[in-house]
Amino acid sequence: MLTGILRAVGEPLDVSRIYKHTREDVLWKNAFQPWRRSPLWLCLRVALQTSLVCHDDEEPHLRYKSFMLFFMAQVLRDALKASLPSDVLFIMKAKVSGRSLKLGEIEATPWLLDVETVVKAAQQELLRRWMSVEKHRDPFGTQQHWPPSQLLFHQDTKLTLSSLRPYLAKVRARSGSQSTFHNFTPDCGRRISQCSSSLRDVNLWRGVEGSELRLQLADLELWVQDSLKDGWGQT
Amino acid sequence: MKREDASPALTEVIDAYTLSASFAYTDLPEDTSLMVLTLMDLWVALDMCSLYHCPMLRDYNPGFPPLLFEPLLLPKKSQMGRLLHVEQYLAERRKEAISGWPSVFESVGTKNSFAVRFFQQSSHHQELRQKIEAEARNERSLKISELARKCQMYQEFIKKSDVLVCEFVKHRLYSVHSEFCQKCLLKVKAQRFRVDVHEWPLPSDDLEAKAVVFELDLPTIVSNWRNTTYSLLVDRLSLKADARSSHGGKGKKQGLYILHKYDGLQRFVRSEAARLQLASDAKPFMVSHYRDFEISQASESNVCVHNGLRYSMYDSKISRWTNELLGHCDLREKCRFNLSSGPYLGLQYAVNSTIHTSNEVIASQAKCSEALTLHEFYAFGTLRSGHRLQWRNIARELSACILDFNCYETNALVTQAAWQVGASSEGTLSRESHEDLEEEEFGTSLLSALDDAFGTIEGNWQGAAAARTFVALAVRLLSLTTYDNVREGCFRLLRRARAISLSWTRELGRKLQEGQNEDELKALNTRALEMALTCHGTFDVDPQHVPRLLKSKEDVAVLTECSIVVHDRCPAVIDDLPASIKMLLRRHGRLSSLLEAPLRKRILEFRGGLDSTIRRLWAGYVPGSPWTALRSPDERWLVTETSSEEVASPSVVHYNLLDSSLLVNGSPLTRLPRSYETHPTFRRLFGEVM
Repeated sequence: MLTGILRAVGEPLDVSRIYKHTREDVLWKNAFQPWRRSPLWLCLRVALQTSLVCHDDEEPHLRYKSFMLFFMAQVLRDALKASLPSDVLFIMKAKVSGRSLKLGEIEATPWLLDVETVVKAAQQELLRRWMSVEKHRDPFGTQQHWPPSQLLFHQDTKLTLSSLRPYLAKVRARSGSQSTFHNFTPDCGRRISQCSSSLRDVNLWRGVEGSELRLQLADLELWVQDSLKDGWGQT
Repeated sequence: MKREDASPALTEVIDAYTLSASFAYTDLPEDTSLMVLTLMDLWVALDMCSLYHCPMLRDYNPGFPPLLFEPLLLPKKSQMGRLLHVEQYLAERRKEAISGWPSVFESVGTKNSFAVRFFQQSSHHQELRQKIEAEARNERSLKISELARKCQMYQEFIKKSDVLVCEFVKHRLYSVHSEFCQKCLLKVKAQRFRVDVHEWPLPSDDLEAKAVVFELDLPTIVSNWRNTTYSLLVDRLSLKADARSSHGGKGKKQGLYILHKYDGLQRFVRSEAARLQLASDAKPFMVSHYRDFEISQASESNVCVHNGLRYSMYDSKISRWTNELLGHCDLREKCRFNLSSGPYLGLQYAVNSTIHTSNEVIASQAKCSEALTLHEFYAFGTLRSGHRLQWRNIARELSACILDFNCYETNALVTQAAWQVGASSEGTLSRESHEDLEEEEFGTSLLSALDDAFGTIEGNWQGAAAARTFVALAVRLLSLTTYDNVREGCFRLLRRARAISLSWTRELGRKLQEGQNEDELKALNTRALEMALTCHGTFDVDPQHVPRLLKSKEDVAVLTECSIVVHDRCPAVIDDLPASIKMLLRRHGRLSSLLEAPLRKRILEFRGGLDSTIRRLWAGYVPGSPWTALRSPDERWLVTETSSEEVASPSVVHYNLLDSSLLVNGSPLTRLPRSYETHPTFRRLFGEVM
């Protein structure tokens, strides 16, 4: 609100301005408290940058940038001494080397070597930690119940088809195929004789289904059509 | 067989046939129609036989509505003749029946009801009634003397009790009434005397009593007639009897008293309980709370009571009163082709009946599916509007080329129009709907339209459905026309249709041998089956015309060839096939059984036809000994032995006239035995692929 009032009653003053990305955002998921960037740290940095600015230079913020790099290299050195976790070290190292690369393009100063040694030391430390992880046979204890020394590869990969060989032997011993001639004897159900004139012979047989049942029904229908009237004239 | 014996035999045949056929024919309207016609033929025989024994039945209308049989689908002339006979018989029966007299299945105790009139002329039943009444009088006088005896004893107890005084016992300071007081005990004893009522066994109404006596000894002839006619009316000719009964509550009705289980008359029951029985929902006195009285309140008038039951006719199978079930005869739903889902779904009404007007169809154009053009919609909707116009409309549509004849729905519509018998016209066989076909001029113009229509589909086997429609029309024309030149034209047309569909069958057979992809093969296989069925269907004419179409050895060769293709292409399990093909398979089965005898005759006459078909399938076949038919009941099998001149041992070849299986030395030639193919393991390993 203050800025709003000032903008209304005052007028912009012509001073040297700096611009900073605040990257203001809040992370708050499954957490006790929200996380955000420290405003104090931003304030400190702005104070530093505006104090160290030198308008005569080609690059007005060189001093501030150099200081920040130097300072962060110092912090990384202390972190190495305190042997912080590898991920934190890795991120710090990445930041420092990024800044040193950018600065090195502008101006190669001797103390940059010092920064380089710190970065290298951090790299060495990370490498050392990774080597120790690699060297350990089972660093997380996930395979302690699996004794590879007791495996018997030869035995475990042997497959047997115990009934195949006797069967093959039998095939060889089989005599020439039996006669291909099969005598065919049809087994058809009884049918309604269409020439029968007696109702007694007209019957359906239970227990048949599908096409055989339909055949019986068709026979009966045909009988009704052709023979029923003959026997049942109009007398 | 004499007529006396025929009634039970006919009843048995009707029952057995109904049981099997109604189960086997559910989904095919023309089969259902044939079932109804067959049942009606049998019923007419039963009715004649029953009338011979019991002329009194003639006075009662059997209850078949006059327009009931109009929806039937009867493709053959002989069937329409039979229907005409049945309808004439029923009309005669209706005319003879005395109008206003009650139905045999409903009314119980009115002056003209069948039971009462039968009783009046049957001395046997009158004797039975006298016997029942004599026994009841006897029981009643016993009851009265029992009542008097009990009354006397009651009085004695009361008298004894009156002279006594109540007894008291001293209880320290005061006296109380004794538990064993003689006076009071006697009183209680007296009050315990009760007497059961005597219910008169027959209803007090004279007419009702007569009906009850008649039911006790129902003559077999009447019982058979009544039960068979009733179950025809209610189970077969009515609209879904089950659906209507369900809302009335299945199972036993609460508080229903059936005559055959009534204690008072149990000893006089002479006939077995059948489906129709007399029952009452009013209680008899014997089970009500009036069944006994204390003596003090009993008197002759309230102990000897009249009969409490009020009888009506009851259907014990469906558990409903018969008057609720009768009068719902309707065959329309059972005798129609149903359109499967799709663009035509909303047009089912156009297939169902002929009473919608063309204006109604135009008015409903908004309902036209996007897949149809409006012209097609209109043509489909109005084809059947007006039963006398149907055939004219069909003939016009054949040349107009608006309807899509290649789809199943059009086939259903046209077939329904061509086959449905429709309204009868005074004693003519072809009825009002099909009168056009008897005209020579219409016959020839329909023929030329069909000829042109065949010309348009000839080139492509996609037109199989259209070909089937045209064949059905030609067959119908052949069946009903009376002119020889039209008939000859129909024969020519059917032969042409046969040649076209046979060439399609062969073409698809070749494609099948070239095909690779499994899905494609399966689809082609179904198509080949459809073509062979179409070709086989060109033989589906009236029996008297079969000899003309099955004349030469070439005819025999075509018939056997397409039958064998049907047998070979038909999958072992047909559930997956489209409904239209299942329908064709059913027709094919019926046609095969009709053609069995003529085909056998032809093959035994000249063998060349079957031999050439077999040589097409089996190059090494050398005809040997003549074909012979096996003896009954295996007469469907023809057998021959191949010539032994060129090969070492002759083979025995069997051919089945019904399902066209071809066996060489007892093993199928072209496909695995059915028992293999339906085996679960085979199906799992090889699926439908052969």
